[in-house]
Amino acid sequence: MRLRRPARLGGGAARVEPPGAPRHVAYLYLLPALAIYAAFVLAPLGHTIWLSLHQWDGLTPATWVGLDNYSEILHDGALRSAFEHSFVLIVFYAVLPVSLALVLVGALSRASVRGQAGFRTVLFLPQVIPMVVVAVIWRMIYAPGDGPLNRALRGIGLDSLARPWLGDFDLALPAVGVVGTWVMSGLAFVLFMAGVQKIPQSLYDAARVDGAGPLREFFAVTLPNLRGEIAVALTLTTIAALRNFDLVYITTQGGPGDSTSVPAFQVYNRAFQLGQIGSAAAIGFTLACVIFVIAFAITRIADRGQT
Amino acid sequence: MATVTFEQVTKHFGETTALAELSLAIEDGEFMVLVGPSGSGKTTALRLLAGLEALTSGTIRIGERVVDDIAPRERDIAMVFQDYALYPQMSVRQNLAFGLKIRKLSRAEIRRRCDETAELLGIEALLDRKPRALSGGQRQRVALGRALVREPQVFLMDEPLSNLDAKLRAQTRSEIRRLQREVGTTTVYVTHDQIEAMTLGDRIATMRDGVLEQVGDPDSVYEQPANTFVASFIGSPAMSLARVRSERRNGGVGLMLGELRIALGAAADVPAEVIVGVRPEHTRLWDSEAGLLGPIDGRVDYVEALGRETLIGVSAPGGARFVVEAEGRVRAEPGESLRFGLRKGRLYLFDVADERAIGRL
Amino acid sequence: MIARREQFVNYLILAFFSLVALYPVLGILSTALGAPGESAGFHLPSGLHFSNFSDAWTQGHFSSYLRSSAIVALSVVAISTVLSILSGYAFGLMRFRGATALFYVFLLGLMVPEEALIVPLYFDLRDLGLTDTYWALILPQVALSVAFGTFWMRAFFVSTPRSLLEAARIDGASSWTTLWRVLVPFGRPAILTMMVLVFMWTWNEFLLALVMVSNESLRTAPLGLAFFQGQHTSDLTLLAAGAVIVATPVVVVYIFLQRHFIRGMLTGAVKG
Repeated sequence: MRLRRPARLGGGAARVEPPGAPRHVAYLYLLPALAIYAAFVLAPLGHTIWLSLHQWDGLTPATWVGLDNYSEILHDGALRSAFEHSFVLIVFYAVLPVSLALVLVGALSRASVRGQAGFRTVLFLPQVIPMVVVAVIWRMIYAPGDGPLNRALRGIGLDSLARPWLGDFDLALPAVGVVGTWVMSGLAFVLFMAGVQKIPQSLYDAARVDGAGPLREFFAVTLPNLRGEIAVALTLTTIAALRNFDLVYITTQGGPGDSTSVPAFQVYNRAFQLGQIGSAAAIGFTLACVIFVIAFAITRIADRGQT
Repeated sequence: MATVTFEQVTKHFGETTALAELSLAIEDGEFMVLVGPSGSGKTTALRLLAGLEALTSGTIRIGERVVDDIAPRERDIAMVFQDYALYPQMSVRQNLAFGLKIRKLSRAEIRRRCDETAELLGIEALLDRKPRALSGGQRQRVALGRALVREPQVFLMDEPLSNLDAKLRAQTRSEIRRLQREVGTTTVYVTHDQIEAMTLGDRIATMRDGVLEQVGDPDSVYEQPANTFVASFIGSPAMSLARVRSERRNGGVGLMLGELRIALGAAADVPAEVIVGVRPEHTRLWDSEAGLLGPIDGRVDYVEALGRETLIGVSAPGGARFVVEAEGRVRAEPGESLRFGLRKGRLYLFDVADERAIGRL
Repeated sequence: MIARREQFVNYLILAFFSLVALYPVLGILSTALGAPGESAGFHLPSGLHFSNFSDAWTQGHFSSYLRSSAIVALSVVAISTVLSILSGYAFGLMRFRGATALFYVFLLGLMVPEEALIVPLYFDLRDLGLTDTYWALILPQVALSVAFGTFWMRAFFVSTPRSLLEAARIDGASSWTTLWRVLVPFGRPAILTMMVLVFMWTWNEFLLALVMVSNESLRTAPLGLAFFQGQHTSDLTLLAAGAVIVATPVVVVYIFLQRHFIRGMLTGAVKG
């Protein structure tokens, strides 16, 4: 008869695993994925932080500058406005689509629609198309001379409103934002539709029996139960807004002037065109931190409301 | 020789003790049933034997070999799971052959065993189907087949019949018994259903809260339960238990049901307070000619008409409750009084403190 | 009757928003079919000039761009799928020291944007002489896809019935056999969803290609399109045709597997 003591805290080789259960072989399974991940994500991440503390042009040796690149983000007008533009884009990419999708979901009664899958496919399509293609399409739409938008405005007699949208200092950013709204609304809508399907009909029935009209139903039943989906939608769309590169690159290249400059574009611009690699790294890392903080905050707020 | 031995086997899950020092010796070719309510440790014991969990302490042997640290695949066991656990993407034949292929048996041998087992279980027609195209009963047979085909030293079965409807259950029960007799392999079978236990087992091990309460063949467990738990768990309908006083008078001992005295005769060493147990089949409506103990006048609490017999829940004086079994259909209403008696020699006596059996009168 | 009317209103609302979603897509299609040399887009085409597509394919080099995209996307999908299955299996069904910590390390990859990685990646790969190769596009994307894939496959493996695994263990299957003979066939839908999502993300990737590739013969489709736009500011028809060509493969995959796409994004997002 053998007595085996149960595992003590802090180690000791006492086994809690059934005999023959895979243990050390697990590391072998992990190894390939971990190796590539470490080499092409973790290492560069560390390297970015390292680079961000230096000034470097890519050719001559780098010089240590400590946190100068980061303070530049706070103080340099151009960089500050890049981040500010990002936050404006959040309104277009996240707030508008989510609100629009909520209204849409609220407007749709619970009566099921045949062919719903077809509508879902179409509404989700903007999410699937490569962003470069989306940018090319919308650049055509916004074309100053004969683009469909201006043509339509002239067609209904609003000639004065027709203008070079992407070349206008004040309107370029909103114009870019509207593209984001077009792309993201489908995502929010599909998310919310799926979420609404999960709400038990009995909750709506109870509300109706209590005398609630459609508006009250929406605020009392639909909205609270979509909390999780709203959080997810806000997270995904906000991150998309912050990471905006393809769209700006294709449509405006950050212009006119700096009016559509965004952090991701600044990373590219500074690293590969201006030879300010340290600064680019700092912007990139800051962007990552902002994303992390916002995602974290949204989840926290959503969880707190959860019963 | 495929004996199975549990020596002081203990299993802790964190703070909980699932199995406390189980010692059990199972003979070669025996059909041993582990029975008990949920949480009794029976499934834990089976899983320890299978090697799906690690022992906390103690030893398990298969044959002479200690298997504590040996992986399931080396233990030469096969298991039938409660939810059958058939490989969903494989055909029935592939399901049967899977374990054999891993053990690198020859193609011819695999084919032979699969065909034989399929014939034994009557599932030849299903060999090319996938599990999702089978009924519950068919799946159960395939699960059995998968174990049979391995020709192991020990069969382990974890409540294989629980997911079947009652009729299918009874049918399959006798089939399992027949199969085991034919194949002759040592079998350890876990169930919470005491009827299954009584009909299937060569011996029954009754368990509660991780402790083995009694092991023995069905008859002895039924006739001589070791304590009140086994007495009331085994047998259906369950034995009635009541805590009563005893009184010695005029050289004879009597049990006091309230003011009523049931004389037991001169013999017997009966403590002042005792738990008395009577199986319903050993009670009868009062008949002065039948040589019963009593009469006892009680009040009817409920009536269950089962066709062939009627079960009547009765409150006797002093608060003791009995289930009286009457033949055929008997009219009785709750609240009515009922006179009944107990068969001599069928009273079980249990110690009040530790609930162990003292004797039978 | 009320239900019928509600249904009708629903149809209207959905149809309207569908049109809004579709308008730009239809517009580019019509532009691509228009007479060559158009300088304004989104006209209703006077005829159906399918020749624009073959022009874009050959003169516009989009055949080469698609080929590059296909090589990169399929490689990334293949490699990251296998790697994700392996690591998701380990995290999902094996107990080992450091499992939780290592899993959080992978989760980090879900949050990190490539904009934070692109700068050192370029310079390091340049030093290794790997820029302007397909590897510069494949390896970083495998790394990022593996973060998602590990999370996704782990969630699937964790949900498999325990008795199935135990039956395999008793039958004598090794961890490798159990994975490939029992679990993976069982998990085909989940794996397909992951492959479809990784394919889409990889096909649509732009920044990485822009930075890593300067050789025209290696340009992926989005990159090719961006350069094409830079060169052909007045020939919108050809540009539109190129845009359609670039978008078509991923849209086709989407239409055929859209259930997987949408389910993948929804469940992945909610779990994330």
